[in-house]
Amino acid sequence: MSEEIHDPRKQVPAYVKVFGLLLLLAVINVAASYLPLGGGNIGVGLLVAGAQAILALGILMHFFSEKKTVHHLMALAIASVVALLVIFVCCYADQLNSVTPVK
Amino acid sequence: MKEETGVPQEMNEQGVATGGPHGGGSGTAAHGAGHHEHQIELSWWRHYVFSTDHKVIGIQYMITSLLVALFGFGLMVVMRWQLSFPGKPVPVIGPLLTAVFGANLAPGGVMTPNLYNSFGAIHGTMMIFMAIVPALFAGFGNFVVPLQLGAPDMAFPRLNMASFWSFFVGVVIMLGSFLVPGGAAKSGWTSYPPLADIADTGMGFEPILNGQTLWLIGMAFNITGSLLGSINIIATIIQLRAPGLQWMRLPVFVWSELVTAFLLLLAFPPLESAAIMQLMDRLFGTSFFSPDGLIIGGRHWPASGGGSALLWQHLFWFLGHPEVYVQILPTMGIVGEVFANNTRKPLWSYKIFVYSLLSIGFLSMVVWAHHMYMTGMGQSITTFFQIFTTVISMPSVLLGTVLLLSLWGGSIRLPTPMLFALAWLPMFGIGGLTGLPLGWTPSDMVLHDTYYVIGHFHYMMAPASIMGLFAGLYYWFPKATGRMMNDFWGKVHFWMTIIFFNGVFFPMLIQGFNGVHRRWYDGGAGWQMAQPVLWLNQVMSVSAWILALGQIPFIINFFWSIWRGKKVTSDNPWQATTLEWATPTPPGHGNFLHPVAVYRGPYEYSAPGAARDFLPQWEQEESRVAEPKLSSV
Amino acid sequence: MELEIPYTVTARPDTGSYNAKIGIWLFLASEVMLFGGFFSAYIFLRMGATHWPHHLLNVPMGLFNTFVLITSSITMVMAWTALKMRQFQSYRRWLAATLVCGVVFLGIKSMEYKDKFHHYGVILNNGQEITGHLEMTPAEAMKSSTLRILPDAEDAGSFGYQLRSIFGRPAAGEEKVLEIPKSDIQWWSNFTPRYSTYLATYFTMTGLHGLHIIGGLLVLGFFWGPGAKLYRTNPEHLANRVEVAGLFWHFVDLVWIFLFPTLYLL
Ligand code: HEM
Ligand SMILES: [Cu+2]
Repeated sequence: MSEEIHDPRKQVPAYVKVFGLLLLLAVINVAASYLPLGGGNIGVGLLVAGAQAILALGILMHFFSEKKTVHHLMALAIASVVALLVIFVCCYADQLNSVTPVK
Repeated sequence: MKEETGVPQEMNEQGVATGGPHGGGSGTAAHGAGHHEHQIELSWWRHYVFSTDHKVIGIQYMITSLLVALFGFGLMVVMRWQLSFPGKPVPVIGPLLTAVFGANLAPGGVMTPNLYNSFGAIHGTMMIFMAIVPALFAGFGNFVVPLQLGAPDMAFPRLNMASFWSFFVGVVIMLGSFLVPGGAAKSGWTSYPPLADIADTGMGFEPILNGQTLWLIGMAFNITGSLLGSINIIATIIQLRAPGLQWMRLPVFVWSELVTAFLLLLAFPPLESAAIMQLMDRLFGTSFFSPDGLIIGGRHWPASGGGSALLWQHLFWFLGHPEVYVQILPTMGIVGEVFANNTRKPLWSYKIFVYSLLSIGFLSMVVWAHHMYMTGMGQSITTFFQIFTTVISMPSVLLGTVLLLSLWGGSIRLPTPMLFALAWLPMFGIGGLTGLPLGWTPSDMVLHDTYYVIGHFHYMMAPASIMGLFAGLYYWFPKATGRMMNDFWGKVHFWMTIIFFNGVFFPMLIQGFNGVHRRWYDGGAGWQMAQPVLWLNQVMSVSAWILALGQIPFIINFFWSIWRGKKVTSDNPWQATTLEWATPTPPGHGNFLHPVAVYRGPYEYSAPGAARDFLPQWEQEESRVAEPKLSSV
Repeated sequence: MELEIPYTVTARPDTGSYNAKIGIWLFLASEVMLFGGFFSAYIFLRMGATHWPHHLLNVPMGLFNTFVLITSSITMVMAWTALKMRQFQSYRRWLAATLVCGVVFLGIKSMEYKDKFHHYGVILNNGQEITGHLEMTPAEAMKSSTLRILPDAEDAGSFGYQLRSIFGRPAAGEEKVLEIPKSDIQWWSNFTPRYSTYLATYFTMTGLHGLHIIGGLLVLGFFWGPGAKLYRTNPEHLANRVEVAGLFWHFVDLVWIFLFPTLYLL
């Protein structure tokens, strides 16, 4: 285990940086949502949230320093959830007689 | 995830003695717990009821789910009466129906449409979620997997107990729902909204204590239990393999349990979310699944609308399809074990078998919408699902082929478990082949929602899965009880079962081709078009009743053998190679008397040059003793 | 317990993890799928909706709550670090800070819920939507044949307005109380889950998330109080357990990181 090798205290500066970044990104996300980007708003919002998620997962949850087993498990979960979401969108988009939503 | 060297290092650290478990010395504990003393007195309650021992929990699962299966079968037997003799009072148990369900649902012993629907919904739900899956996945999984891994118990024994009890509460709620005003859920095992959203609401129904709401709550408990159980199984397989038990030395049953557990883990939660949403719809009047402008009984349904009934179908089948594989995968593992053991040769290709299991696992996550071709899906997305549905049948065929070829040149023994395992193969074949036409839209258009679909999936889940279940029961019974089940009565049971299973389900395929709809209560006008095949109803019903009689030899044999059966003379009565047979009979708490280690693959039967025709995984060098003695616990 | 299971405290060499860590990651995998189910429902409903509100929820409050949860994540990982360093007092302090953050989050969330329950929406027969506050008691509104509603200000969706509204309803601007006969109304209700599919998703997802927070608080509270005794006999085991509980806590924060933009911002 990585914690055994490294001194856990060494991680603290990284935590503090992540803390700052997470707060900053949250503010950016709020600010961006007021920009008139149309459909682009959704993209930006999810992108920023994704960046936050990677920071939290990778550093606070020590995912980056985990061993293969955990990586494989999570890869499986992420693959399934992406399959779920993407196929759902496709299923919605491709319906016979689909009514285009009124904008 | 693999360690490629023969025996990993921690084995040397513990200084495992060479020579396997019969090498001598009195009972030291299982590996990892060198000097620990296991003969701890537990109260009766902790021992048999709130036990954390994986074997006890496995048996609890098995007994509960066999009872549920019997109950579910009973429901079906009564439904078959209605189908053969519509509107006539049910003989023998008619008065009982009236007494239990009241004159509203069963006046004068006649099944009403509502009662028929309740029976159908609960038959499907209980058989799938509370009988077959818990028996195969949790029952055998709990009892056998840690033994086959050489582990002292599951990774999280207390969690294990929690999952059993969660499941148990689910069963009780589901059974109890028959007793609330209006009776149990009526919307099928699939609970399609908007019907399921509005069912059992309004006049004469309680807000929470009504059939459909209790269905959802019962399912939530059941799902929770399944999730905890699958976490436990996976963690156990990853963490508690005995020294030397590399991934490609795992018995195929362990592989099948691993894939099954992942399917449950990843596919069940979306259904849980859907169940929560349906609960919200029913309790708080939300419109997750109620479309705009829903009119019921001539009145606007008082909800905002904007929901989508298709959303439920997608979420349901996202679980639903993996769930059907959850019911067949463990039996593939069981059949693989029984085949190797009784052909006395290695499986024809262990690797192909394992990779097929894995690819079925992956693919079964992306085929779910083949249940929804008729819901107005567009062409590109149907093409996607048709392709993957066709592709998933390939590993299934490979698996069957591996098993078939494994028979080639074997010196086949035919004890009862092998008979069941052999019969599994053609039943699985019929089930799979009848699935293909359903996987393609042009033919599914004709066959969807007919008895053909019912025939297809019952061939998978009844003849195939249940054959596998029986094979496993007869095979592992001696390990659990120390006694053999009677072979003669086992064979009687086998022939009764296989013949009448086909008597029930084959005619369904024929009726389906003739357009008989799967959910009709007495058919009415629809049956007029199916006159030429209606006589098959009687054939099926009579087969079902004889099938019920055919289970009596099994039930008697089962209980008789627990106390009176022939005692086994060895810890390894089938002369098998996998680790569960290295334990004492029956295994005590902690399982192994000595630390075990694994030296070879799982199915080294009839190795050239060996004195015996089997080389157990746990023996470093071939033992000189022809048949190891029975060790005392 | 009676039986010793291997690798409860030390890691198995070839997998690099102790059992509970594998267990919690598996659990998180299933949680990913659980919330994945809800997000897919969100996508489906939103794509099918004729109208999806923007900035309807109070963004400043949500942003503040986001800060609270992010902070709690950091205090959580600090608590674990302290435990790893065998600084017991510091561990308890950091964990207490985490607990406080969790409670604050729930407090703010319940204020938001309450605000919504006092907010009303009306959909007219021509499809037009009017949102605002009742100028009568809910009981009167049920009985009467007209609704008296003070519509929301033009800029009710703006950050400044929402910020001010936290400290009392901002003074009314141009708006006048509307009297709407019920015969003109297609659908009206306060902002409860049944008002629209948007609010249904909002309440269901945040409600479930709130339940996760409560669960996390119970577990962390246990390791702050009675569970901390384990420190005396087996500090490493306690550190493992806290790490596992912490992984759950971080995950709950992570879910919020996605809930906040999807429900509040977009
Ligand atoms: C070769 C593999 C298989 C293929 C191609 C296949 C295909 C299909 C298709 C397309 C349907 C939908 C039919 C319709 O509603 O119109 C279906 C239904 C079903 N299949 Fe299969 N299947 C396969 C294997 C299995 C297995 C292994 C099981 C279970 C052990 C199973 C259980 C079911 C069930 C339960 C249903 C019906 C669910 C319902 O509507 O109530 N299938 N199958
Ligand atoms: Cu399917």
